[in-house]
Amino acid sequence: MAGNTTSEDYAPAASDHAFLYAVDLEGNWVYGKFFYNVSFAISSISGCTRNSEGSAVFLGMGNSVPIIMEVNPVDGQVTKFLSLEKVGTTTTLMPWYATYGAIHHDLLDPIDGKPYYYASFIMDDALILVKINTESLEVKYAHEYIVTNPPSG
Amino acid sequence: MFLLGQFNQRASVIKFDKNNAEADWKLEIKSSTDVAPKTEMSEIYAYAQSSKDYNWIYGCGYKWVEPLQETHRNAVTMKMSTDGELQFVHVWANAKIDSRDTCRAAAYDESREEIVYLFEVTSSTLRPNYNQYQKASGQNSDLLIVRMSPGGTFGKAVNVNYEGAAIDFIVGGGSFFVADGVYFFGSYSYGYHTQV
Repeated sequence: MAGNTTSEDYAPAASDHAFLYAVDLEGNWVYGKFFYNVSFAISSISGCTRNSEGSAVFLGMGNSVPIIMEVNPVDGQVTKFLSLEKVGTTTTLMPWYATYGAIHHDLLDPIDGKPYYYASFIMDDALILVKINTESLEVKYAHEYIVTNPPSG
Repeated sequence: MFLLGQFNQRASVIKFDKNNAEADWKLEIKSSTDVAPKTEMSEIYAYAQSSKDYNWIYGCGYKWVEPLQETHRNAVTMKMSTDGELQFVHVWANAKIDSRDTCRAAAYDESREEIVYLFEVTSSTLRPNYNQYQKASGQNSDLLIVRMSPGGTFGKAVNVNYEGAAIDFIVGGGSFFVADGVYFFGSYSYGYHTQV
């Protein structure tokens, strides 16, 4: 399970903190983590999936940009972490982002046999779809989809 | 690869080519009688598929009763093919407009070969014994579990509530699965405080 908490009961302060925890099928607690929103700046986790080898992959927000995080489901250790930022971003010129549940980890691409993350999120009112090589972290493509015509009946 | 959610103020499904991100087709669920942004489904929150038959997608979410105000919701369930053809859309309409009904999660129960939906409901019509606790918690949401056959016939439903305690039952999006006929889902309650 993963998400966002603003409760001081579960995180150090009443600000946005991402969390994840694991329980077994009997409901017994296995482990839990929160992510401090200063030194390890993940504020929310909105997407959660597992790849074909069982590793957990999360999509969320950190430092106001989308992040992807791979986690060993046995002990909760973070094994891979990356953040996404628009080219040309500066401290004063930065798009806004929103993430939801759109994250997929394909370990064997049918064409080149490489592993890829597929993720989708909102950036400045546009739908973004990205494909990222999980070994080299090369962005294979990043496409933007926008509504070109106003809604009609 | 399919992307389900909301596009153009409507529930939508887009099929992409994984290799080059080209869109094969895009489905937007519209209203048959009203102009946009009115629609029979505003957003898809969750979906389920059978591991034995990937030809069908069972989705669920909500529609805004008045999309320009975005205050009251009806829960919506639907079925479509992976070719982009919509089979049915079922709006869980309520005579009273002040509902916040939403379908948050869906899973396919392989052992019973049926789809299971998890709703958050405030409508009296979806809350048995509502009159017994409406004064205290009529504005709070209950959990409603609904079972549906692949053909779209609704079977048994169970309501879970806090009776007279003014506490919301909130279902975690995408947090639901079925294993050996047992339902597992994440949720949280809003309205009471733990003592530290």
